[in-house]
Amino acid sequence: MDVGQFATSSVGHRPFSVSRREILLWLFAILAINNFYRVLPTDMPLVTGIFTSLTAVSVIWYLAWFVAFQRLSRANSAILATGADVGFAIATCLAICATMVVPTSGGAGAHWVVATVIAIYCFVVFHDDRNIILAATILMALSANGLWGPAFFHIFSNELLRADAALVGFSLSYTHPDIQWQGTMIGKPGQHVIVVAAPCSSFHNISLAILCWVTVTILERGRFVRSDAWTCLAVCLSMIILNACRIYLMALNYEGYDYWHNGFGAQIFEIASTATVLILSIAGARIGATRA
Amino acid sequence: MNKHVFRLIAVAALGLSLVVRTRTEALQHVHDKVDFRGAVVAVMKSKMSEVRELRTGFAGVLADCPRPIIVTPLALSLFDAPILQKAMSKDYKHRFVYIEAAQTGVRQFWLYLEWCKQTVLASIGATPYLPLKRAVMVSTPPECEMPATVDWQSIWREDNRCSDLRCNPVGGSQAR
Repeated sequence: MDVGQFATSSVGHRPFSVSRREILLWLFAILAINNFYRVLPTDMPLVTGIFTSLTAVSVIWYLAWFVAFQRLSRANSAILATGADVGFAIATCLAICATMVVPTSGGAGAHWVVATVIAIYCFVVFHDDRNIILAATILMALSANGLWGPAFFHIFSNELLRADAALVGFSLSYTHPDIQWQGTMIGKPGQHVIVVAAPCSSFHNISLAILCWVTVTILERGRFVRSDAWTCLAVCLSMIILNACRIYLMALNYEGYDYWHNGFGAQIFEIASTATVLILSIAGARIGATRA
Repeated sequence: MNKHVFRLIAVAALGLSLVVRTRTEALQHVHDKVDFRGAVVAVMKSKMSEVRELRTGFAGVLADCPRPIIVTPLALSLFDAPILQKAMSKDYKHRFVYIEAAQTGVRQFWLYLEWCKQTVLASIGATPYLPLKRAVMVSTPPECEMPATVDWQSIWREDNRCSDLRCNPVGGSQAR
């Protein structure tokens, strides 16, 4: 059978000999490679540099990209791309190159703007293929974590950091009445005082928690049910509570600050928070699957 | 379009994006090594006397102003601004300057917008400024006015980056 017969999305256009699945696989691959690519540090051996670069990325990102490619590989490969699809793909390739002139900061980068546009294009044009829609959903969640979440945080950082300090300061006022908080500062006046900065904020990793929830739900069952909203809420709240607990411990005394901010406690927190959101997301996805 | 042509375009785009990114990161490393504090001192010395280095920034004396002007380099996120403001006299007026943007409130959004603009312009060589991710907070006593002739923008100007004045640290008896 001629695959051209399946070119359902090419009404009025001559189909190209490339499938829309392949186009998306290429676009996702360019984004993913740029996402994981780190310019290797020159002050260490090559292998150590590669290892350091790869471990600088959250395990949730690896999982998200894996599930996105898994879904794309299941998309219908028989449907050929239209001229508009190919034109869009070439334009986005150029746009990704153009966004690389903007310096990245951590995982954030201007290429996420292009990723968002690709996801929206998939939602609008390829809505007849569920696997493409799910891959696009993950891409949207990755963009939220890579750009939109941090951008929102930067714009409202003062308000969010004050809310953070108030949350921890309010808790401390019950257990340690001598500790006060004002603005983003918490501590004993004249003794140990900490300032809540952006990277330590309770609200900083919420977009990562949401990415984890979206990825695990799609990996587990490939569709969303109403109860997933509660899972999302639980995942976000767990992240806020864990971060608040960490700031609480750092505000108590200098030893606590040193351990949870610079010492082994920081790694314990990273592992504990990642494990918590993963476990909650898996549990929520399984409970939702049994109810569906 | 033949699928092989499309694959060729995609591979070329991937390679080009990685090359551009590598170049951008290399430029970023150059930006990180710029003597920003030295540039701030140079601008202050052009209009002020007795420029001294403080723990966080610099203090300078303006003619007809009884109290010092304090200029503090900050990250573009302005995260340190509230605590630095608290450490100064309460009646000081604070102004945040970043290349062509200047504002009084701790609102980093407009500064980021200016950084985006300058970054794009710098990538095509259409701006004389280096889009460093560093701003300055200019704190003045209420009884003094900062002269409009102070060229704050030259802190970020690329061609002034290593003039003799700039590359010299604050030294001698003025340093503290």
